[in-house]
Amino acid sequence: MSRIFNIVWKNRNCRWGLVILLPVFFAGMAGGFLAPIDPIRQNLDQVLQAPSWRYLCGTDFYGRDLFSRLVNGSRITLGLSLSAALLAVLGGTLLGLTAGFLRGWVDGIMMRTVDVFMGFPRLFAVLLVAGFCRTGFGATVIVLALFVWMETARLVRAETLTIREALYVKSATALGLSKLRIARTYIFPNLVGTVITNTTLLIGTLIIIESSLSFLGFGTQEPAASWGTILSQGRIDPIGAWWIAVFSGLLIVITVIGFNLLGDGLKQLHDESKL
Amino acid sequence: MEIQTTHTLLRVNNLVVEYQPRSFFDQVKPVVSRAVDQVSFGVIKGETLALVGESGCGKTSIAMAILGFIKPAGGEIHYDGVELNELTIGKLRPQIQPLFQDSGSALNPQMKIGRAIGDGIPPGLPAGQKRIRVLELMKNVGLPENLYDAYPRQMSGGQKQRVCLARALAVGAEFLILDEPFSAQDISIQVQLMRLLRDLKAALGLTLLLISHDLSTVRLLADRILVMRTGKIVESGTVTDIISKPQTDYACELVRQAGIKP
Repeated sequence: MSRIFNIVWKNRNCRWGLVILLPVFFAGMAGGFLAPIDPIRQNLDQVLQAPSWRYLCGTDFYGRDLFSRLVNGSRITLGLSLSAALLAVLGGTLLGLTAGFLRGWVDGIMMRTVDVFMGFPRLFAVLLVAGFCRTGFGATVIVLALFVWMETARLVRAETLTIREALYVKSATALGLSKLRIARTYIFPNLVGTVITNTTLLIGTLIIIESSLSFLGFGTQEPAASWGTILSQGRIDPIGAWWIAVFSGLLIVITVIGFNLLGDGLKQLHDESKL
Repeated sequence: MEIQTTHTLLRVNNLVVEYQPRSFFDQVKPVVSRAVDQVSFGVIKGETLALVGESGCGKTSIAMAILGFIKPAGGEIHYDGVELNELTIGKLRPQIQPLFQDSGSALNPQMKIGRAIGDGIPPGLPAGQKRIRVLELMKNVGLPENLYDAYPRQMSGGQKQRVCLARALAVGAEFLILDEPFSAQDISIQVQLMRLLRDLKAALGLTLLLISHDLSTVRLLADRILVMRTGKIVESGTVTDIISKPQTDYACELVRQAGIKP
């Protein structure tokens, strides 16, 4: 484990990515320890306080401490994005691997399904799902995963098509190993680098999508706060209460940059066969 | 008195291998390239038959067709009296094993050597016995025990070729298709591998189909040679015949290029 961390730390992109992401993760985990003020406690005497030593990021329209809400929001935003990324990557990898390895009619059906999902206006689909389902953590994770699983499926399929032509797969076939065993022990382990890289890039995308959905009122619901819901409050008075939009927006941008840097670095390491 | 029998283990009849156009622009004006054109030959059990010719003459296409990786456009391949097709190839596959030129690419980069060789061992053996069997096979091909937990990237080209050979032996192969197995190695490794193959062939009664462009290496291992050019067999005979009395200009050229004095 420490060997892998050393390899990752030596890559400049990975290092900067981790420098950005680790504090965000630790802040999310520390929660109340780092931000002792209750993030949903309203204090109408302290409405729209500008950033100060008492309220590091100011307060919102209900007098809630923005720093506490952002710290707690990181848990919700990262939890949603990571869970959705995991679900999308699991589904996309399974489908892409099956389609690329088996080819033929299985590939045809699976890839046309991907085309249908990609061709369908996704925002409309989300509004449709949100209209019929109760919004909650599980529903939001599924909606987010439905947004992005297709990219993973296509990427994994393309990679599988290349790997299945490799000599080591031909050698395994010549040994008389079953297709399932070849897919499990010869193809999948060689996809892991691509999948990990894709996952980190996907998390960045999902943070933006989750924030956009919350901004539109279909993601996390008040009084719980994700970065997107906080950002959406910022639009009410972007000049007078600039800190609401600026701090939540900055956090989203910085975290997405962090995930993208980590993803780029992992891709470099994978391409150099270090991972 | 010893009774000599000649049993044809592999028979190839009128084999045709063609490559269809794959890109859109090729399909507009289809040009089917015929890599192997009506080739017939047999390999006798226990012998080493060499397919010799320049790059692109169809040698590897024949190997791929025998291994079932290419569907022939015509002709038949029989192994031990059974026609190789989609129904029979699965059962016969373990008996026919390839050794490729690029041994590094023939090994899963994410799999340790012990496991790669162990994958060839038929299922049902307990893990402890499987490890003992793998170590025994590693010893047979001249690999040190400490490479059991090594990855292919930690090994030399010659060692990787030995791993491929051990894996072929693990599965119980009788017939080895050696597709330019020495050309990526330096001279001393080539000699070591040739000696190893010769010894294993003698000990295990293996039958070898050796594919090469180089007559100088072929003559040290082969019993008979087939000379191929543009998808056809243009000459065949024993090693002595081909080297000392080549009948075609092309065979003469190959002998001259190999720098062999008859």
